[in-house]
Amino acid sequence: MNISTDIWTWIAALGTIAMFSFIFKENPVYRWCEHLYVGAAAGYAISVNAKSIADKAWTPLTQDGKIVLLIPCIFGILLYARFIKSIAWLSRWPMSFLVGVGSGLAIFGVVNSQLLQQIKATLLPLNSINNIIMVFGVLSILLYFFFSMEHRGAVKYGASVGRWIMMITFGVSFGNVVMGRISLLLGALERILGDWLGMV
Amino acid sequence: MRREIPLVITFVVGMIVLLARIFTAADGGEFILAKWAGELTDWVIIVSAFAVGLASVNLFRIHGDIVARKRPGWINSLTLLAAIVVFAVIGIAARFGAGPFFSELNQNLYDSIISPLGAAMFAILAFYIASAAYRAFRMRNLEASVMLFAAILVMLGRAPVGELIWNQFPSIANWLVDIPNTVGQRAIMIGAAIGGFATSLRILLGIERGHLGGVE
Amino acid sequence: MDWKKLQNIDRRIIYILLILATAVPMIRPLAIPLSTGPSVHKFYQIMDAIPAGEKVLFSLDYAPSGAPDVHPQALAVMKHMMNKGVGVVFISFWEAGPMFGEQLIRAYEEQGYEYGVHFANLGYVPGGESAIKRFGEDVAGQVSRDFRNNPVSSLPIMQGIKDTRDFAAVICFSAGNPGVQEWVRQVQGPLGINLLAGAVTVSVPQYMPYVDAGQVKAMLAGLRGAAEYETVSGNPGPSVAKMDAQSLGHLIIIAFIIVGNIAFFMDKKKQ
Repeated sequence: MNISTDIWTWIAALGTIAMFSFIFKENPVYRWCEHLYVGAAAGYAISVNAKSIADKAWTPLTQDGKIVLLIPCIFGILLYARFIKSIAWLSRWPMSFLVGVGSGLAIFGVVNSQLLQQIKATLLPLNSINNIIMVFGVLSILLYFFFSMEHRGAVKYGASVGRWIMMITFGVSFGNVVMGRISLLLGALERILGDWLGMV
Repeated sequence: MRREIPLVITFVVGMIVLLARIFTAADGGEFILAKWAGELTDWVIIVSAFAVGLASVNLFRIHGDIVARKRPGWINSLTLLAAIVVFAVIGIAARFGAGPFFSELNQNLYDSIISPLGAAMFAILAFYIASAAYRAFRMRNLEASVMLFAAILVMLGRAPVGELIWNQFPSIANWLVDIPNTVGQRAIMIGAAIGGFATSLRILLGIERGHLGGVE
Repeated sequence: MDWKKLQNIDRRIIYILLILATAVPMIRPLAIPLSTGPSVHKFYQIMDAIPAGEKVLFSLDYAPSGAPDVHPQALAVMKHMMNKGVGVVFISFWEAGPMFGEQLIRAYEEQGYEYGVHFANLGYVPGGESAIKRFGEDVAGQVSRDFRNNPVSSLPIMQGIKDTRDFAAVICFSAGNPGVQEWVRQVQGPLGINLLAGAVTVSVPQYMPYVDAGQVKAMLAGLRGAAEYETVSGNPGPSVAKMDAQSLGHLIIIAFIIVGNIAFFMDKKKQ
């Protein structure tokens, strides 16, 4: 065992233990650390976004004379109108702007990458078991979600195959969730056992 | 006017961005709308940067009130507010080149407070999933059993110990992820894409107005 | 036997067993051999084929919440790139990303690698999907100053970079949105860049259709992906060391599922 003498490592390890204490019982130390985390993360977010505003708006506006950038700056400020009741409705303008651009971008991106490309990748020659599963599997799940006609006869069987494949999909997802959570736990344990106590 | 102007903004900017993409893609050259769309998309970056302060303003309103009235837990609220100020000031000093002292302090504060506390908060989920595995993951019917076996096979196949038990576990896990999982995820993706397309279109046309609600 | 009682054992026993199952192999490794899968080999081959002097882009789209799963991948690929003499540029669409970029750089700066020549940290761009789109098609126009406040035009590594097609590869290390999906939708689709992904384990199933369709050329899956990459590139490191604990963690969860089910069915039978 080779315990660290670095003050920052101690802070990190004790903070981790304090957060872990929550699993046994909620306690004042956990609550304090939780508040510290929320505040620290919010403060950090302000700092990085302040730099973005400086680089993307302030500098081009003041040094290059890009007056047009006043519009997004005003929109940005109008977001805060929601805190003043009499002019709260003005905060809808920047929101509608953000949503409008987002929707415009999403339509093309989603149709191209998630619809056309995925359909293209599904249209495989039926010359192997995997290809057959891929083609008919996708069709059967889509059939399962197709509620415009009654699930009877062949449709019912097709939809039922889709449901079984989805069960496997959800099982795979659950297996991956377990793996991912264990990885996060290992990261935290490494901070305590490795960085702090020097046992790893 | 309070409702119409936002709808017009959404429609106009959305259509510019969408048409710019379609026409640029069609003729391959620079199209006048592409320039406008680029500018509008740049503006999103600026407005989004402003938006981050909304959370902090809310935190100040709620926790400032708790501190001012010395309600239970006010020390925690004071810590939260102090952390916002300290991390913002040090972060801004570091970002704007106030010197290596601030950059180093900012990195150390991040690495020893934000990073470990954030990571530990999510690491706690490992305990809850273990508890859920014990208490809730039951073979109540055939479908649940299929799901459970798929999960176990993936867990065994993706951990080195699985290969030690039976050398075919990794191949089975890989097949499950590569084929049935891809089939399921792809079908869900196609369904979500159709839903996303329809929702975006409804927003642009002003049929869907959820984002405008809340403030009169 | 009281099966009801076994079904409702104190949750703290489950927690302690999980801690023991993961902590003990970290302290006393079992040295279980680790095999490497085809997807990691493909990822490695793509990265290894990049000639020295070229540049790659790391999009660090994760936060402390997902970092233990994704950051080791970035560390492993970074090491490979530095050994090969390939320049690495960082960008992030998550606020936390640039700090992880600084962490990646630190060890190499101490070894004498030069900031701005071997690597650069372009920092964070807000705006999610919109920002990814604009950065993808106009790198220089989107980031005027890097995370250390240097003018980007003054960095030697950024010379000749106009859009993301000028990078030999773009690797999105992603723990959610914005991340791989947005890169595929807004940049890979329209520009056809060489996109690879390092995904948090939870998102791996969701990204598989992109890999299958060739939109994402290859993918590393979580901590295991990092461990395999370390092995394939001949630099076994911290991720490989954690694989024993990962193994026992999985075994204990499987044991929980089995015992929980036995207790459930025995209790049902008794009733």
